[in-house]
Amino acid sequence: MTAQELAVETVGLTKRYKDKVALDGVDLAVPRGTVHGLLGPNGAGKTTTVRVLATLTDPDGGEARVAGHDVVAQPREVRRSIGLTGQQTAVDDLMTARQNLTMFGRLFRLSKADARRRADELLEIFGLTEAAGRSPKKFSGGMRRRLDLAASMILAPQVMFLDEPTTGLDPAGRREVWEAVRNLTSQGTTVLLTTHYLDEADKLCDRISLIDHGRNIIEDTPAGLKRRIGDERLDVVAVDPADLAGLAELVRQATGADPALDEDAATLSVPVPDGVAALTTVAVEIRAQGIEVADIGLRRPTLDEAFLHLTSRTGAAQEETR
Amino acid sequence: MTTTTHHDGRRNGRTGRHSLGSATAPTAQPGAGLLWAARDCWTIVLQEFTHLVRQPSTFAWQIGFPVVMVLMFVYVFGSAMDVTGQGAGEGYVDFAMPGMFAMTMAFGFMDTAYAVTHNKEKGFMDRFRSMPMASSAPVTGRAVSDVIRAAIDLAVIVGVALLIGWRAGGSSGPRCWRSRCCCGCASH
Repeated sequence: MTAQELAVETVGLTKRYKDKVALDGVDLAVPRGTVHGLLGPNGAGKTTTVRVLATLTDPDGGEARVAGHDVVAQPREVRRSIGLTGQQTAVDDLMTARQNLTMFGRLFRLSKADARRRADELLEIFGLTEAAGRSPKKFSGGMRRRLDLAASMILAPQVMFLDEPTTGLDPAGRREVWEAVRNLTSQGTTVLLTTHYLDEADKLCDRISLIDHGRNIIEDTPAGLKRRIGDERLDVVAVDPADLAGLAELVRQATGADPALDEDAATLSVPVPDGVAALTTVAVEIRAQGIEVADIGLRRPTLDEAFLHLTSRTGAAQEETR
Repeated sequence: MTTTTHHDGRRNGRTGRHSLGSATAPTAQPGAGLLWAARDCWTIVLQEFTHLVRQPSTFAWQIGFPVVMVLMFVYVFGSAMDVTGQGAGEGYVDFAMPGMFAMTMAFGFMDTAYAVTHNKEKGFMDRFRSMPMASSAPVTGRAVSDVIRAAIDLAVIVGVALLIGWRAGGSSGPRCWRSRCCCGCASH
């Protein structure tokens, strides 16, 4: 893939705040017209990455190009090609929705008439025409976010950065925002989205980068990520949590893999390559040993498990190398 | 300036490359930077004025509070003091007003500081900085609108002072000089 086809490209991005390493070599390659998710726990470096790409912070090392422009050498060109929606909704509560968009239009250097026309268009696109004359203070969370998105869309940017766009929204608000994001991507805008909601990444993203400790651990499609920890998992729920250790040993011998224990739920879970065979073997063993179980079954892994699995593994690896 | 305005309102699928309606900003001409900076600054000033219009109570409070202070000091406290040796309250207004002018202007700083912090915390500054606008505009726009507001504040307070008997050009030399000095400092 040539650089021309990449909307966002970073190589070995590093950033340090005093004695805290925020970015420790982030590599990204986001093709045009796709949605790319940055997924990671709080403090992993997601927001710093977005800040560097949106020209708000200079990186200490590495290279970053957005829409073909270098973020350090050509910040003006970058700013003309991007839209940023930060963690807070940066709209003016003392002005109406339309006044907000018109003001941003003027700041994007549109003429007065063009700014007004564009404001009306965006209100229409984001379904806010009816609320145009009201202050965003009285909006629902989802509506505020939509107005916020509209304000970043004044110039129909090539690349949109969304930093945790649905944090703090209720389920209805999240759905509204997802719909708006899908609308953007259907029109060819490249979206780089940070989130710590895995279902959000699963639903919206073409590819996901897992970020932890300022480094990207893995990059894959949502389906690929799930595949990485085995196609299926075998879950066993014990009646008595005290039996969990015995069950774990039994499952370890039957499947040859270490099961993950959840003591609170009295559940153990293990990835199994051949689900049905493992289920049968384990069920027979449990019966033979006379342990009481509440439930035993096969299911597909969730992204949460993939995430915890992958981040804890690299965390452990890092501990070892230290 | 070219502007294409189109939006068909339908999904084109992921492969669609149609823009979500678009408005193209003119590319910057060399030497036009200052002009743009001034225009961006004015846009921010207009934003502040929109606030005044849409939330007049804030503005009324900013103007009303110093007026209340003046009346309170001059009539309530002043009536208990004999500063000129000509009886309680007599001539006190000439001493009180310079301080009131300075105080009114000082309260203006508080509003400025509050507004700047608010903008920063609400992510407004980040949004501005990610936009192709003049980076000076949030600061200059703020400064210009605050100076205009301060001038209005000062005009109102001077008007009230004149109504209650204060005169900038009083008869006694040193007192007159002091009033002018403070008034002058405060209005800069």
